[in-house]
Amino acid sequence: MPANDQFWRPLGTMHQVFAASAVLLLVCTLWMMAKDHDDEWREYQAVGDELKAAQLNEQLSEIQSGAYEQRKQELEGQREAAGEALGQKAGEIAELQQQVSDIQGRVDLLTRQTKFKGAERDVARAKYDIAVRDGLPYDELQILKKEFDALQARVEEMSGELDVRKAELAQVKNDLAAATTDLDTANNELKKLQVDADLVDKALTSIEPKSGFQKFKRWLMLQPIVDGFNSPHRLQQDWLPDLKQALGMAKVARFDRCRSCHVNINDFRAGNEPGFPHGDFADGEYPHPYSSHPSPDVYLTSTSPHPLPTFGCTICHDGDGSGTSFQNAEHTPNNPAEAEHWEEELHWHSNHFWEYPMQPERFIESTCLKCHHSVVELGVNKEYGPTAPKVYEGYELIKSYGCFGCHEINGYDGSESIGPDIRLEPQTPEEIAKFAADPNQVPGRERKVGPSFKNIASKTTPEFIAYWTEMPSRFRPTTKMPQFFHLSNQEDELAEKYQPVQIAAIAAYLADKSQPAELMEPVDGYEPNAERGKTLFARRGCLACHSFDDEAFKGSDATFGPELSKVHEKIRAGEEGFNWLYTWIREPTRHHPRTKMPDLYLEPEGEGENYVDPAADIAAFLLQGGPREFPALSVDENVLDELVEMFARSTLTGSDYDAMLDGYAYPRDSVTIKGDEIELARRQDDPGRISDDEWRKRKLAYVGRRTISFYGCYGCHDIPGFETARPIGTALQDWGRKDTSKLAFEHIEEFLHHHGGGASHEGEHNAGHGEETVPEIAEQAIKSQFNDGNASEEDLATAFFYESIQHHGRPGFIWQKLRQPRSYDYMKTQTKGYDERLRMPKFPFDQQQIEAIATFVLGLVAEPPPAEYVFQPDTQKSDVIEGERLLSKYNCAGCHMLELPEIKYGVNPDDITESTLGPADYENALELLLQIKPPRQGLTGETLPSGDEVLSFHGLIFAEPDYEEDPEFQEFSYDLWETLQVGDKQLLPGSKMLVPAAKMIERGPARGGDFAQWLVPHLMETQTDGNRGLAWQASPPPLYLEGPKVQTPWLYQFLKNPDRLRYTTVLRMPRFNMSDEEAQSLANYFAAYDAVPYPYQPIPQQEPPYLSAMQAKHPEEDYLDESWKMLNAPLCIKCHSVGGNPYQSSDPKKDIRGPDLDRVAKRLRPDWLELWLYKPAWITPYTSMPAVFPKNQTQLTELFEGDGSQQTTAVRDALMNYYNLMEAYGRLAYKPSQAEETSPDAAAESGAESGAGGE
Amino acid sequence: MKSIQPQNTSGNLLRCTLVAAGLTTLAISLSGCQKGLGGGAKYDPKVTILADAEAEGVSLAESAAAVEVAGYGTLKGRVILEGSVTAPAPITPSKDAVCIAKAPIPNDRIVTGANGGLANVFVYLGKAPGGTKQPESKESLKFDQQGCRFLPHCLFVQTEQEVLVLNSDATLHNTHTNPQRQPAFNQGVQPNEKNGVPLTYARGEKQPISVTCDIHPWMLAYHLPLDHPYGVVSGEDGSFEIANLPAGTHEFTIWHETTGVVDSRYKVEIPVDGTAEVEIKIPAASLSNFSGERPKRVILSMIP
Repeated sequence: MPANDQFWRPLGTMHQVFAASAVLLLVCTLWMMAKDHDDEWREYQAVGDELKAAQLNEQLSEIQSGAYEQRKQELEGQREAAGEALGQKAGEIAELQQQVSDIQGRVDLLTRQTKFKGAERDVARAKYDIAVRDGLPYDELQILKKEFDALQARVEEMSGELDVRKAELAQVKNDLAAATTDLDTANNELKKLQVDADLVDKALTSIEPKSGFQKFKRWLMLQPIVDGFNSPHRLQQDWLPDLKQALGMAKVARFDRCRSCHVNINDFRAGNEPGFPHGDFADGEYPHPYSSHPSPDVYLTSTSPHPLPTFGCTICHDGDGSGTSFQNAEHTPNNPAEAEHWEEELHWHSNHFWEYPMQPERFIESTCLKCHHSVVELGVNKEYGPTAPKVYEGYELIKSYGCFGCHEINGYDGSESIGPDIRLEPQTPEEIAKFAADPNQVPGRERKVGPSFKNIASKTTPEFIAYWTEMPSRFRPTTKMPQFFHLSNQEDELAEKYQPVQIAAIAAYLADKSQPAELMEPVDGYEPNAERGKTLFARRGCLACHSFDDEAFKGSDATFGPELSKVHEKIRAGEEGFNWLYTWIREPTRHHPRTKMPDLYLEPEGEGENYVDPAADIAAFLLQGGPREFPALSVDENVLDELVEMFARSTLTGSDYDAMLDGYAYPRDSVTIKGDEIELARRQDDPGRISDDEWRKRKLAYVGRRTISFYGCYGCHDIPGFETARPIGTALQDWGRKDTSKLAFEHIEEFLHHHGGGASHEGEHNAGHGEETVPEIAEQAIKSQFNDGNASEEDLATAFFYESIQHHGRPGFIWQKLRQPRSYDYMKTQTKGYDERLRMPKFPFDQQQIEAIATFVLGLVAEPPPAEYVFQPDTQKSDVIEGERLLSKYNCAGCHMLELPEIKYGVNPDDITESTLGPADYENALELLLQIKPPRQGLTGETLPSGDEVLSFHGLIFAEPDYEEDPEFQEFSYDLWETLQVGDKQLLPGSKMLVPAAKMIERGPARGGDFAQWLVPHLMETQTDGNRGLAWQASPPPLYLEGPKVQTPWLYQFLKNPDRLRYTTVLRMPRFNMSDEEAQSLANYFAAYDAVPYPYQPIPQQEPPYLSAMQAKHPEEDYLDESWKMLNAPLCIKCHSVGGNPYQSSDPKKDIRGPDLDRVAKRLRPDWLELWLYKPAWITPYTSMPAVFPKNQTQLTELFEGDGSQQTTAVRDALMNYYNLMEAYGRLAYKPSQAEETSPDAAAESGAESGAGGE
Repeated sequence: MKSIQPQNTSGNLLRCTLVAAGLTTLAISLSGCQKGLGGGAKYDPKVTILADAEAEGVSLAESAAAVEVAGYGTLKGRVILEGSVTAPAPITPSKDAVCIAKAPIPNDRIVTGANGGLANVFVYLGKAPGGTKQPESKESLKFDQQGCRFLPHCLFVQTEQEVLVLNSDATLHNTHTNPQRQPAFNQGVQPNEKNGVPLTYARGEKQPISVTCDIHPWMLAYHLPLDHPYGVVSGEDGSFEIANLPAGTHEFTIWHETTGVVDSRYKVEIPVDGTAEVEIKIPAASLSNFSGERPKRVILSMIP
C-alpha cells in the first residue's frame, strides 16, 4: 500500500521494517542472553562434573570389585532361600499373623476399656475428695469410698488382664519374627554391604542421572534462563563480612567466588587427603582449576586452622574474589613466560587498576604475615611442619644479617600488634627506663648483630679496621658484614679521592674512642700448647658455632659465629693481642656484656705438670701463624680538609667556618652541639689554641664520625658516641603497601641495560651468564621457557623481577636494591651532592635469599585483620614459639639434637619381628614406657612398586653398611629411639633397625646437633676405641623428650647457671647471657613442646599422703629407711656419688662416672626416673647405665624381699626424698649381709666398700 | 602451571536460540561437554616389580639346609704367630676394692701359647653354607666374670643358644654387649651370681662384638653370634677345630681383636669324611702395630 494522506509511509515497507527490526531485536536479545550465559565457570563446572563422575565410577567399581559381587550374590541367594523357606511354611505364618492380629485387637479393646474404667474411678475419687472438703457425714463418705473401692478393684483386674494379653501378643510376635529371622538377617546384611556403594551411587546419580527423565530434568536445569532456578551449575560464593577488604577508600565485606571455577578446591578424602591432587592429567592428577587445595590439614577443612567458611580465599591469596573470570579474579603469573601463555590461552592481560592482585606463586607465603606476627610458627612447627619456609627464611635472614639495625620493623601500633616486630632492644638505661614506665610501648628485642667496638683498640689495629671496612669479604669470604665501599656509585673521581680518607677516618675514630679493656692473662710461666689447643678447640664446643679450615675439622661447617681460620692475622701482635683473645675466650662478657658468645667454663685444671689452661691453649692455637701487616693508613691532608669543609659547611656560615679554621675549634659551645661537630668543639681542658697535630686528629675523628653517621654503622655495632643514635634506613613495617610512586627507580632500566651481569663490583647472581645483561637474560629465559619450558628457575625469577622493575613494582625494586643497592644512583651522582648519595651497603645474598627477603618484606602490610583472625597462640603454643626463637638466638641446636633423624625405607611388615619383653623386663615398666613414649605408627601408608611398604622411624645411626660386602648384604644399623608401631606390631626403643642399603629411601637430617654428630665419630676414633655409645656419652646429649624428663624450675636454674652435670662428656654446658625471662621461657619451652605440666609439676613422692601409703604397704619396717639402704647398697655407688659417699676412681679419664645423685630430687620428674631405673636403654639406647634390678635376678633379699620392682620404686622414692633422708638417716654405705656370707673376699671387700671415702 | 581452557563456549548462542524457539536439539546442546577430559583420573600406573633382594636371600638361606652335599668333613688347624710380640701389660684396676684386691689382672688382648700358638682368634664362615647341619640341641654356654675379668675372653655362640652370664666376684658387674644387629644387653649381674643370667642372641652378627662392663671399664670380651655352627675360637696353643662342614671349598674369616679382620677370604677345601688341616700364620708385625685397644676396622658414621 503506497503512502497517502492516511499513511505517511507505505504500510508494506513498514511491515517489512518492523519485521526486520523484530527479528533483529530477537537476535540481539538472544545474543545478549548467550553472552550472559557464556561464563567460563560454567564450563569449568561441567568438566568438574565429568572428573567427579569418573572418580566416583572408579570408586564404585573399586568397592564392587573382588569379593563384593560374590558376597552380594551369596546374600541374595540367602535372601531368596529364606523367602522360599518362608513360602513353604506359609500356612504356619498365616496362622501366626492371624493370631497377632486377633490378640492385637483384643489388646486394643482392653486398653480402651481400662482407660475408660480408670476415668470412672477418677470421678469416684474426686467425688470422695469433694465430700471430704464439704464435711459430709461419715456414712456418706463411706458410701462414696465403697464406690471408689469397687471401681478401683475393677481397674486393677482389667490392668492385670491387659498385661497377660500383652505378654501373649509379645510371645506370638516373637514366634513370627523367629520364623522370618533368616530373611531379615539376609536383608540387613545386604543393606550393610551396599551402604558404601549406595552412597557413591547416590552422589554419582546426582551428576550423571540414569533415568531418561532425570537426565532430561538435569539437562533442562542447565539451560539458559532456567538455570537461574537452583541449577546444578551455579556461582559458589563465600561471604566473609568480618574480613573486610579495601576498595579505594571504603572497606567492604569480602565475597570470594573462587570456588565457582576451582570446583574441587575443598574436595578431600578421609584422612585429610586431597581428593583431586594437583598435577597433570597425564600423571593421573589434576591441573588448575580442578585440583584440591594442598595441605588440607592446614587449610580449608573444618579441622584445620584455616577453615574455608571462616577465611575464604582472598585474605591469603589476594586478588579480586568477586571476579568470576580468569581475568577478573586478577590472577598473577609467576613469571613473564607464564604470562605469555596466559595471554595466548586465556586472553589474560595485566590489570594495573586492581590494587592487590593475586600473589604470584613465588610470594604466596608473604600474606601469612598478616596474621602470623610471631613468624616462627611458620618455619618451625611440630604439628604441621614448616608451612611457610620461604617467608621464615626471609625473617631469619633479616635477623641474622641485622637489616633491622637500619630498617626498623615496628610490629606495634602502641601496644597493639600489627605485624612482625624486629627492632633493636633499648640501648641506654634511660631508654630502658622509658619503656618500663610506659605500658603502651613495647620495646624491641634484637641485639645488635655485630661485635662491640668499645674496646676494639685492644683487639686489633686501625690498619686492620681500615682494611676490613673497605671490603670485608676480602679478608673473610663468608662474612655477613656487607660492603659499603667500591660500589657502583663510588666509581667516579670524587669518590675515589674521598673514600680512602673516609675509611682511614673511621679506623682512626674507632681506635681513638676505644676504651682500655681489663684483660686477663694466664698464670706466670704458663706455656700455652697450640697442639692441645687444637684438640680443645674441637672438643670444647667451639666448632658448634665457628668453623675453621683444617683437615682435622672436616665435616664441621657451623656458620653461627665467624669463620676463624685467619683470626690470627687481625689480632694485635704480641702479648696484648694474646691476652685479648685469652680474655675473650675465657670470659666473653668482660668485653661485651650482651654477647651471644657463652662462657664455656674454660677454667684451668690440674696441678703441677698437669696444669692446663684451655683458654690459653685455644688462644695459642688460633694465633698460630702470627699477625699480618696491613697497609698503613694514608690520609691526604688536602682531601681531609675538603671533606671537613664539605661536612662542616652544612652547619656553618662562611665566616663561622673561617673562624673555625683560624681558632682550631668549632665556633659553638660544646653543650649546644647536637651532631657530629662535637668532635671539632673546644674541650674543657684545651689550651687557647690546640696544636696542629691535635687539630688534625680532631678533623680526622670528625670525618670518621660523619662517615659512621652517614652509613649507620652503629645499627650493628656498639660504637662510643652513638648510644642514642637512631636507625638511618626506611622503616619497613608497611613496605608491602608502599605507594609505588614513592619508589625512586631513577635510571635503573638504563643501568640494567648497560651493565653486564659480571661487570659490576656489586656482584651478580645469575651465575654463568658472564657479561649478559639482565634484560638479555630475561628475554632468553622467557623465550626458552615459552617454547620448551626449559629455562632455569633462577633466570625465570630474574625475568620476573626485571619485568616488575619495568612496571615500577615493589618486588623489582627490592630485588635490585638487594642485588646492586647503589645502582639506583646510576647517572644521578653527577647531579647530587657527595653526601646525598645512596648508602645502602651490598650484602652477600644470593638470588634465593633475596627472594626470601622480598617475600618477607612484601608481606609487611601493617593491616591486621580483626583480632579473632590474627594468630593468637594459647600459652603452651606461645611458649613453644618463644622457645624456638631463643633456641635460634642462642644456637642451642648447634650442639643439641632436638629431633632425631627420620629414616624411611621399604619393608614388608610381615618381616618385622615384634619386640617382646625379655626375662629381665617388667610389665609395669612397659606401661610407663608407653606413657612417656607413646607409640607412633611408622607405616606411612605408601606402597612401593616392589610391594614393600614405606616405614619411617626416628633413631641414631649405629653402623654404616660395609661397602666391601656384596650389595645385597649391605645394611644400615640404627638404634631405635621411639616406640614404633608397625601395623599392629610394636617395636620398643633400643631395638636395632636393620635397613638393607638397597631399600633405603630417605635418611632425614636430625634437627640440630650437627656438632654432636661431628664429635661422635671424632671421639670414636680418638678416645673410645670405636665404641659409639661411649662417644655419644662424651658428646652433647640429644634433648629428646626433655619435657617429661626434667623439672622445669630446675631447668630454669640450670640454664642460668649450668653446674657440672655429666662427667663423661668432653665439654660442659656453657653459660649464656640469658635474662631471667629468657631462661624461664626456654625452660618452659621444653615442657610445652612435649605437652607436660609446667612451670610447676606435682611430685607426689615427696608428699605425706604418698609416703604414708607406701609405709602402710610395708608395715614391718620403716619404708624410707629401707629405701635409703636400697639406694646406698653397693649398686649406685659403683658409678655415682651418693649418700654422702663420693665416687672413687684413680683414673677418672677412663672410668665411667655417672651424674651425682644428690640433685636428682630437684632435677628429674618421678615417672621418667622410675622408667630410667627400670630400663635405661628404653630412654637412651647408648647409655652405660645398666638395668640394675632385672626381673630375673633376686638380689639384696633382706630389702623388700628382693623384689626388683619394689626395689626400683624404693630407689626412686629415696632419690626423690634425698635431702630429707640425708638429714634423717645421714651418710650411709649399706652392706648387704648376703655378700659377706658368700664372698670369699668378704673381709677384704667390706673394709674397702664401706670406707668409700678412705681409699 | 597450565590451565585448562573452557571448551566450546560458542555453542551457547545456538543453545539460547534453541531454548527460545522451544526446540530441543539434544545432540548439539550436549556437544559442549563431550570431550573426555576425565581420562587422567583413570590412569593406570605402570608397575615394574623389582627383584626383591631380601626375599631371595631368605629363600636361599632356607634352601641352604636342603642343598644336597657330597658329605661332611672337618677343619682342623692352628693359628701361629710369626715372630714375637711383647705381651700387653697386666691391668691395674682403677676402682672398686674387690678388683683392686685382684691386681694385677691378666691382660687378654694378646694371648700366646706353646709353639707360637695365638689364642683368641675367631675362625668362622660369614654365611651359612649349603647343606648346613644345624645341631639338634644347643648346650648352654657359661660366660663368667671372675677376678674382674671376663672368662672366656672370646666366645663363639649360635643364635638362640643360651649364654649364662655368671658373676664369681663379690662385686656388681654390668655386662654390656655392643651388637650391631640386635638390642644391646646391658644388665647388672649381682655379686656371686652362680646360676647365671641368660643371654641369647636372636640374630647373627657380621663380626665379633665387644662385651664390656661399664663399672669396670678395663673389662673386655668378644662374642661372635652366628646363625650356624661354623665358628670357633683358637685355644691357648692356637689350635681349633670345626666339625661337620659340608664338603667343598669355603671361605673363612679370620679375626683377631687387635687387627680386626685378618683375612675375610681364607679358602679351605673340605674333603668328604676327611679332615683338612691348616696353619694360619699371622705376622707379629700386624699385632705389634697395635697401639690402642681397638680393632682397626672401625665403621664410622658419616654425618648424613
